[in-house]
Amino acid sequence: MTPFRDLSLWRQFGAVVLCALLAMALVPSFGSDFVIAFGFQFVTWIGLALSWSLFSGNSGYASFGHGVFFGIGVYATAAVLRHTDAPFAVALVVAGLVAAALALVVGIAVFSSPRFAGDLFGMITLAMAFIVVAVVSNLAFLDGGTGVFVRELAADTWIGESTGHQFVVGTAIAAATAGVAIATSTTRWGAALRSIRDDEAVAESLGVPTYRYKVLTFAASAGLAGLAGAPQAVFLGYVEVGAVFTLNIPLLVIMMTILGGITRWWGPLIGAASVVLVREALLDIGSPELSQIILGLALVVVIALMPHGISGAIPRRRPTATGTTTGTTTATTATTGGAR
Amino acid sequence: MSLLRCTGVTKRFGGVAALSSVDLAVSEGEIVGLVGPNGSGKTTLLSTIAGSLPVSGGRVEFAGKDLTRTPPHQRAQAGIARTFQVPRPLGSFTVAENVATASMFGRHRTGRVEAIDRAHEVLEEVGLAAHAGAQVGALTLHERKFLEIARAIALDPQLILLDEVLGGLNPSEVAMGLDLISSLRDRGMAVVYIEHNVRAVSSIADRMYVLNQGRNLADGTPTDVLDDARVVEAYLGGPVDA
Repeated sequence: MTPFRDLSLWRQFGAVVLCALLAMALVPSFGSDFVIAFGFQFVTWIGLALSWSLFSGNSGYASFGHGVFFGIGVYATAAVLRHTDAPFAVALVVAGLVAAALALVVGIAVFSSPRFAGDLFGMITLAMAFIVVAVVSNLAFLDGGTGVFVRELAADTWIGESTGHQFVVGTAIAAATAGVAIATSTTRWGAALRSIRDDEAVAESLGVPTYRYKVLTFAASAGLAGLAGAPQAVFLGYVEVGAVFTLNIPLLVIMMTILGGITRWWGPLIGAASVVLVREALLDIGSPELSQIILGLALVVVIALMPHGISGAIPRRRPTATGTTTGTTTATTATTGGAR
Repeated sequence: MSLLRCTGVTKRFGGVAALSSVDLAVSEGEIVGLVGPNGSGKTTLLSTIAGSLPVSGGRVEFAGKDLTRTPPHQRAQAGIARTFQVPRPLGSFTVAENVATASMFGRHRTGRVEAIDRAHEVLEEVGLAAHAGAQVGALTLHERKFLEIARAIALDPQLILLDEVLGGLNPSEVAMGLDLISSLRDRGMAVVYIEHNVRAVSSIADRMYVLNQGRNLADGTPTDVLDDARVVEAYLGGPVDA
């Protein structure tokens, strides 16, 4: 049975599309400039958290490279707009493809060798981040050390016209990412990734092509992060290496995922929403250090009280794959189940 | 023709040879007992057949194909199932989902709903039906061991590699396990069965291989093998009253 014949999956897809359409219709029309700009950042973080969790949350291979894929999306967009007359849509596609291609190459290299299994993967993605930053800073057609003014490049285009348009694009990307997250929830794809997280050698022994799943899902995760970077380039107006490739991105995304939990696909979404809202609320304190400390403490408290995150703490009421009803808050999900 | 044929299989870890040119042949639908003292290379041989350990030399052929360089998941899909000596259930899956995963990704790649149905059938066979919806953490040792067998069956293999699957169980559980293993042969599956308990293996095996220090020591019918003076000498340390 393919995921697309599963009614519960269809309902979830439908709910995501509905929410996205409502947001696209309402926020740009009725929101203040601040609300639209905040909304844009909000959906961007949701997309980043969901796309990170798509690979790292599901498979257990923590990547510190998510900021790189996002940054590559930003720079690819800037480069396309600067050097060609192509419309933003082309830049968007290029942003996704370049980020996915880098992940594909890194994934093939890393996962081909059992030497790099486990924790070393994280270290390699971190090394990749430093290499990419150095390369981007020194390539004249990308940055050349001066940054790129995207605002002027996009001024006459639809996307550059208003923040509302950037919000619409950002929301569409976040919704698409949520769609992919749903496709890895109770499906064959999801079962494969979670079996890798539980015990990769056992997964192999049960016939799961672990290498293929890891490489392709890592590329998909990176591609979605690249897409999220495209409207960000226009939103920022001026892109520079220091602001775009920050380690804050992978760290915040990991925090959002832990906070939201990975036992359900929408965990990272809840985590991202919580972190963005709390950070915004803490801005009034006027001390970024203090707000970081409060956020950190909040994370510790949540982990202590809800070891499987916010989504993991919400009981399941629907029947699981095996026909029994569970109301527990365990980390287990009906990963291979068809009945949900 | 043999279903499985290992020829001159050698495995070195650094300078240590865990397996030195080991030969093993298994025909369709037979139970082959694989015994030998601790460290004789039984589990290492099993891992080279399952593909989780690459060989340093020799060939592994299965159903007429050379699988020497084939990754483990392709061997599983080709019809080789294995169990782990220390049970390794997938921790975030229920008992039924553990079994269903094998059906989903195994030889016939079933859909999810079909896989869960198949999992329930297999769990029924091994006597774990009551635990289908349970978390694996709730299982006892004997249930975990039988879950290993259930997962292997759900791959619908032609060959099952069992690694001390009855170790640590009480006599009545061992008897149940032996019946279960015999029933696999009745369904046409071949079995390579490693067991510490030589008497248990010899009671159901059609043929036996004895390894010692990573080499073939003897093979033949259980009676012949157990009477072999070299086996008695190397492995049992004295005559057996079997």
